[in-house]
Amino acid sequence: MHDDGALVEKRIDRFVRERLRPAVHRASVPLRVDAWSVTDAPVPFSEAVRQSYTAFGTGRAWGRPWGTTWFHVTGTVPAEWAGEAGTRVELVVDLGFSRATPGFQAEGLVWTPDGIILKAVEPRNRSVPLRARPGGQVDLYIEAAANPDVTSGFTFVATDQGDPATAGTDQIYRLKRVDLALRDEAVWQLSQDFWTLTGLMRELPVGLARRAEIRRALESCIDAMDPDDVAGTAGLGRAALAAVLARPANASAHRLHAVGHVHIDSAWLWPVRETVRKVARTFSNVLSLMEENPDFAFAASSAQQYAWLKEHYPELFARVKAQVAAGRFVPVGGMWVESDTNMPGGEALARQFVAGKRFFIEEFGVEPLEVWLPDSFGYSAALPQIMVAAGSRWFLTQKTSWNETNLMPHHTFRWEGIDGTQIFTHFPPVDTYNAQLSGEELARAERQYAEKGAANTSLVPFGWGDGGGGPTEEMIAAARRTASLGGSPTVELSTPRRFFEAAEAEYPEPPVWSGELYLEFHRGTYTSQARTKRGNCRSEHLLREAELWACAASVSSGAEYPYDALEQAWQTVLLQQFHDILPGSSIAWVHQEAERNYAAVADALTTLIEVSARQMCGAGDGAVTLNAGPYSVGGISGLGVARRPRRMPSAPRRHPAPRCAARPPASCSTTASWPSRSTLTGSSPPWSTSPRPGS
Amino acid sequence: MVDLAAARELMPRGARGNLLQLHRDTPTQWDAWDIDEHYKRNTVDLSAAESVEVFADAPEQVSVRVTRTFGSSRLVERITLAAGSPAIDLHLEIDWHEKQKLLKLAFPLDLHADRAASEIQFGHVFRATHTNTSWDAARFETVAHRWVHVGEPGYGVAVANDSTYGHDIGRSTGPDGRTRTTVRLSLLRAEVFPDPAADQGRHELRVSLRVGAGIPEAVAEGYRLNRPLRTVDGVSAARVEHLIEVDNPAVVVEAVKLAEDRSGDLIVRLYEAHGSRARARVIRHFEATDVTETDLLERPLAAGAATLSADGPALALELRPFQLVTLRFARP
Repeated sequence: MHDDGALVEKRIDRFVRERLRPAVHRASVPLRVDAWSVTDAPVPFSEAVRQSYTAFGTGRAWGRPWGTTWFHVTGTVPAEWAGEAGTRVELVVDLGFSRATPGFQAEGLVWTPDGIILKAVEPRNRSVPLRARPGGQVDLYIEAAANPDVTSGFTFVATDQGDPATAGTDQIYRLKRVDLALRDEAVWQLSQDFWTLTGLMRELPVGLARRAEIRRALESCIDAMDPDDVAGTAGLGRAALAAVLARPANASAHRLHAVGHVHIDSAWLWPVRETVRKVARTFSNVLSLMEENPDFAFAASSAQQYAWLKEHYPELFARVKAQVAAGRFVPVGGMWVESDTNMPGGEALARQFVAGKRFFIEEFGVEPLEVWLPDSFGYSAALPQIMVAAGSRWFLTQKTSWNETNLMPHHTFRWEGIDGTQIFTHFPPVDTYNAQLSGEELARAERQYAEKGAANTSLVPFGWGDGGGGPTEEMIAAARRTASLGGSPTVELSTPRRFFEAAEAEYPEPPVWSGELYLEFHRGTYTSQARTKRGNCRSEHLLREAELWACAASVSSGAEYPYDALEQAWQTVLLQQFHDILPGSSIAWVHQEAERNYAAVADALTTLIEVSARQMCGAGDGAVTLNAGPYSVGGISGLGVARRPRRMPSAPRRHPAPRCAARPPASCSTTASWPSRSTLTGSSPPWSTSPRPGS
Repeated sequence: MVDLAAARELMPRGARGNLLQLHRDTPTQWDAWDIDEHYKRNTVDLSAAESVEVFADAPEQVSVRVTRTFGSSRLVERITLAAGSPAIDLHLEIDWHEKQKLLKLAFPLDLHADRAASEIQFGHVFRATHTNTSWDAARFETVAHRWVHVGEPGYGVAVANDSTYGHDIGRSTGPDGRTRTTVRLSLLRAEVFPDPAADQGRHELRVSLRVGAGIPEAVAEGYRLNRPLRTVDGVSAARVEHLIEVDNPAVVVEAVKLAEDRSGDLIVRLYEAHGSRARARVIRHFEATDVTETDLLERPLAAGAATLSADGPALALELRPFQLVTLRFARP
């Protein structure tokens, strides 16, 4: 037989490009568009809906960097669509999307006139299913965010767009399309068949019979269809593919647990306030997808992001809460944010879990047991003990695959920390947390998986991250087609917990990696944005002081413990420990805000400390010296209070110090003094040289 | 620089201590994220000073102020030695206006160390100072919390700071054929993506060089620099409080707080900081009806791993190396 394989594969590509994809919509009609723009901070729907909108057409420019434009879109579903069987009416929007990665450009959120969120629109997720029937009215609002592409294709070119003060005022997007469209369900399904089969075909060895079988089936499908009537012959096409799609997977195929996921950086190349909206957009997509796919579950981390939803989008939060109760929306991680783990101090890293888990337990009644840090820049050897002490059982990351030099030898293993604590750990061998479930990704996961022979299961998180919109119906369609498909790893829609339980059962004695998971990359993040670093350092120590003296005041004088103020300070500090803020890898906007936050935390905590000192010592005209450190210093025992000694060594200050955001205000004086040697030798207890407490 | 107590010269012959070094810092990609190994190939030692003046000269301490200008930046450093103190305190104020430069502060030390300790959460890690394997070589820039430590058996030096986390610690052989260990802190960068004005302007930080230090002294130095004494005026000094005491410096109280459930119970979190097994007595000075070991979420553990015995206000604990313990004191 003549080998025409390469030619056939080209023919398949052209058919998909020119015939299949354009036929997904049988018809479409433009909607009327009116617009109203916000130049500064976003406004809630209730405010936007009250504004007066002016006529706006597609083709027109909109959106200065970081601005928001609300589009009011109205129209009628054509009555003649009534007779079209096997179709669905949807809104299709192109805000002027570019080729830039989704999440790093324009995004939109679609609302009904009574303020209910339907779904978002993003570059790779442009349609919104509508319930409107032929002849019915459509009346919707699109909240469009003109987030600039700061990345320049990740060429690392310096840009002024990361600071609203320098980002300029030129409109950066052009509205391309706001249509009602009639989706042909059979053509859509067929295009998913093609996507999965061509993706698989390209991963199979050229000499393998299965590759040729798939190629011939796709060719027969094209032959059977009428290129000028794709909709009318889609059924014939699907029938031609039925046999190759029905071929079961090999008995030894790699098993993938596919978990719907979105990785949304809590701030990065956008400010915190935009993350709040990114979360709402993606979560609304997920809820919409859940309606159509009862077996689809979704995992997302970071209590902070759910807390934002609760505060700013209570209606959406209630819907999320219902799906959490149903076990389909799965909070993972158990931390306040996906923090850096190199720099937060011990207590702060512990509090990431305390604050995160408390939120999930109190709001949802669930405790995430899988620590989820796919993207942080290396993992401290203290983490295993902290994770286990927080009640967690499993750990997931994939960032070590970014190493410049060495390849980590394991994908599933026990990770052992400095104290000997071990935790069952998984690196998804797919090496991404933004998978689409493409043939290339599935094959990569199977190929790279290092535990072959001893175990055969890995996790693949799928969904566009960072505001790209999360999982899509195309990804779920790919999962269904690869549940058992000859030549492909098997894909099961799953949850992190189901994966970990299966992986642990199959691999009871995995290898052990002892010590830190040092990332051979991103080593500048221990130093970049020095004021942010200092702010974290100072805030952590002020928090230790503030809690200690508030306890002392409460215990000694019955003073009210400032629970709310401390919780607020902690939450601010925990948020700044997000893995693009404390590491110094965000835009100027984020770091300016971090410095302001740290200054506010320092003010609030310094006041708290002084109030506590007055409560525990009583008002008067004397002075006390507080030692919040664990060791005796200058004759004052660790964690002790003393009358101010006559001569405290203190550095004379003869010139004004520079302004520094995180420096405590001048009203409180702090002095670095010497620990007494006795504390270090242990020859006498640390309190023997200081006055005994009054209690 | 001589440690009189140990009769030991700290600096290798011909080397400069407390040396500020300015490197070209132009990462191949991911500017704010990456320091690439090639930064080391372009170095300017900032050894020239605009002025050096005695800032304080008193029996309790002496202090020298050094002012340097370089590029578009200005740096004022105060170097202080207090009477009886085993550490030199450095206070740096920097008005930084460089672009794509990395400022390091170097302490070459006449020490033969093949590993360095760096503080992490609730303990420390050791990393090789040599580059034998590709894994060692790849760790050319490392993270540490409040302190790093290098030493020979019986003698070592700690370098602590209150702001930055970036370090590199390496060893080399001097012209005299002796190995030396160099501890460097990464103080400032000035990358241009994604923030083109990153790190411009004023900075302040404190660094200390603690001589004759083992790990216990390094731990204490980290706290001294970061959790300084605080004086509060306008109080009657009659009532003073002291909640908790621990009789072993290896067992460090990191947090004292009231319980998250707002019951009024008091939480004490402590850890073993020296990497050794440690027994300690924890003595409380407040009323409590019960004490339990809990997890981080303050839920009782099925089996308290650390408690040996409880006797009135005194609790005897035994901690394994780097063990973390949370105690919950129920209050009436």
